Amino acid sequence: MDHQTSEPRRPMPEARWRRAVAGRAAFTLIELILATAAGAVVIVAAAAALRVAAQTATTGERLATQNALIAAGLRGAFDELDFWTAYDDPLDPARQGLRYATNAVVAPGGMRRLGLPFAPFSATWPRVASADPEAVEGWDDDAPWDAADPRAWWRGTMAERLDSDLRHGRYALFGSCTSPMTLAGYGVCAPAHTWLPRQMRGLKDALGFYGLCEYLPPNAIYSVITGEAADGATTPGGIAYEWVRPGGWLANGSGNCSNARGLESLSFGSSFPMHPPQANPAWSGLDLLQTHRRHVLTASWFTDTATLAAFVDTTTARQEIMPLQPASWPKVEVAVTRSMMLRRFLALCRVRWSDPTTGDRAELAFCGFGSTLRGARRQRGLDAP
Amino acid sequence: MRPDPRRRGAVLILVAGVAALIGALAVALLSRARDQTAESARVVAEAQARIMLAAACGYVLESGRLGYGEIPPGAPVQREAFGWLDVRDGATGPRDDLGAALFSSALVERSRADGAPDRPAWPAVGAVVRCPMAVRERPPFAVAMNAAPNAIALDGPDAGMPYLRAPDPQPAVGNGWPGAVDATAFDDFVRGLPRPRPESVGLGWFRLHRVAAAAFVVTCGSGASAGWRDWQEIPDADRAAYGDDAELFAQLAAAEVRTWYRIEWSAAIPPCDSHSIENEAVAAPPDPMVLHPMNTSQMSRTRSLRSQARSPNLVGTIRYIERLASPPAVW
Repeated sequence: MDHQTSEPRRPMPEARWRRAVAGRAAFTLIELILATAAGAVVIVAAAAALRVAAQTATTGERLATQNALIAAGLRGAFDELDFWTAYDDPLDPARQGLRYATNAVVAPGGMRRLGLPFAPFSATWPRVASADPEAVEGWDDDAPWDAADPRAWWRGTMAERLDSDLRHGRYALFGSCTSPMTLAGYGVCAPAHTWLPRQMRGLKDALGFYGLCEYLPPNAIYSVITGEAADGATTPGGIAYEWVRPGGWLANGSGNCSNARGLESLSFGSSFPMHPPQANPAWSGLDLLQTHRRHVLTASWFTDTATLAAFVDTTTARQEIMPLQPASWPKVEVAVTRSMMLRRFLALCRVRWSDPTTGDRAELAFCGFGSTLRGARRQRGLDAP
Repeated sequence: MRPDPRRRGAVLILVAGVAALIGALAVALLSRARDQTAESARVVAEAQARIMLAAACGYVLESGRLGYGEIPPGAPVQREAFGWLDVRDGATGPRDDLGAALFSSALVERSRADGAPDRPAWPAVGAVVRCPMAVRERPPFAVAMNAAPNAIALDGPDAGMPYLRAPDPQPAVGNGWPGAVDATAFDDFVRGLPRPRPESVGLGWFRLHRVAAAAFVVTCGSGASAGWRDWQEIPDADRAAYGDDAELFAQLAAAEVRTWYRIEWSAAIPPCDSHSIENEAVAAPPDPMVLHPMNTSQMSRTRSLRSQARSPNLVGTIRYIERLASPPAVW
């Protein structure tokens, strides 16, 4: 029993306090060193963990930014598939270079009204109404070109070639751009069907070859009979060279075919380009008119790598996502390449990104499905008469 | 001298602070990751909606020619149709081989569940069809995934013999072959198993509004609204799928991607091409033209006897696709 608790508390004398302190166990040097070391290890570990966490957060933030930009790139590619704004920006007249149209002399043939793929029909191929359905000129967006409409039937023989002696018949008697038309041995004739050949010629001149192929139905036979000097030289049967001469601008040299072809044969191993207006800064409007009227050999057995690379380069519309972004952010670019080959209309989308911090580069490529050229022109009201 | 009691918890406070910082960073990271997941889901939804555009075009192409109906066993044989614009006379289709319309223009459907009938049934002009695109457990007329039911034996008495003993293809529904064929399974073969696979439900749909004989407005969607335009359009009997909860449907509709397109159909398909082989034939025949047929396996690179392979549009072509910047008044 502690009797001191019942006694009044008194201050401890200094001598006694010194003895008490001197007698109590304190930190030894080893304990102090160990404690300090253990504390240091804990602090270092915590600091390292904080550093790793900070780095992780930084990396995560960078990847999140990259992912967000890639997602924006994908959405940009989807939008481009649907709205073609890299080829023609309806809100920016400075980016409507493919609406160019002019009167030009192109070989073979004489002066014609030529347009680029986004030139309005009102400027290139205005509508001329007529009570005679065969005599209607210009594009009619409501015309269905249905199979039962005799206007839409092609008249000719697919076996007729550049040097044919017409033993299979003289089809200019039935369908031609020109009516009346003087035919050797027949005199002045009036081909009953002029609408389809005029539509084909009109689309070719108004839009170029890519547009021609897209606007015509897939069963079109690419051959037009004409008697007009502006259409250039013709075969003995009256087919304009421009449509069938192998190795010319429209028809490739595959098989040295000089007969009327369907689209598959016409584009077997070759492509019709769809150039964006900025494809080559050195190109003038006239250059673009010409490049949209030439096939390019793009199959591996017809061409070389450099030609193919140049074709891809000049048919690609590129857009940078957020061009004014911070320099440390990943760069994301959307590229859409449009052309037609082997009857297939191609819209190749590529979303590319590069990280200035790590140097990583990657690309996501896919063939897209969206608005056609005609759909894009309808969005802009360019098909109105 | 006494040690300062305030210094005894310094390490603990320091570590706790660092841990708090790490925790905050982790929460921020997880939050950002969640945002990214949501953003990625949006991109996936847009891609899904675009797939529905391809599905809608395929539906328009095939349904203009292939006829209509549920094909119940025992029902009259479906008649083949001749296109949305009849290829024989340009009349509005689809019509059967006798020219009879396979549609009715009578107003029998309601665009508002509480309204009067104001539109015809599909496929008449002005009609609407919804196509939720869940995958069926087994589609109608499904065939077995057996690419070689008559594989040539490598040994035994039949080694090397190309016997065609088994039907090719064979139905996915077992019919007793090669024993006695059980004809009662034919109904199952025809019907398939229409039950949707759960993992494919609510991902995508398309909806067509026939605005002219050959023109359609396509609405593409990725989500669980099943193509209903709004709550008012859903008949009472179908509202149970959403728990009779208009708010739930509105949330589902708001969360999905919807895009609108106008497309036009044409009966035209690619032609068989004639091709000159005069510069490739060893001895040019009198008529050096050869036909490039469609979708055959005959092909010779040396003589250009090639085939136009992989033609996807043998029942017509989509003339154009036009993305609509905003939803049309009626869809």
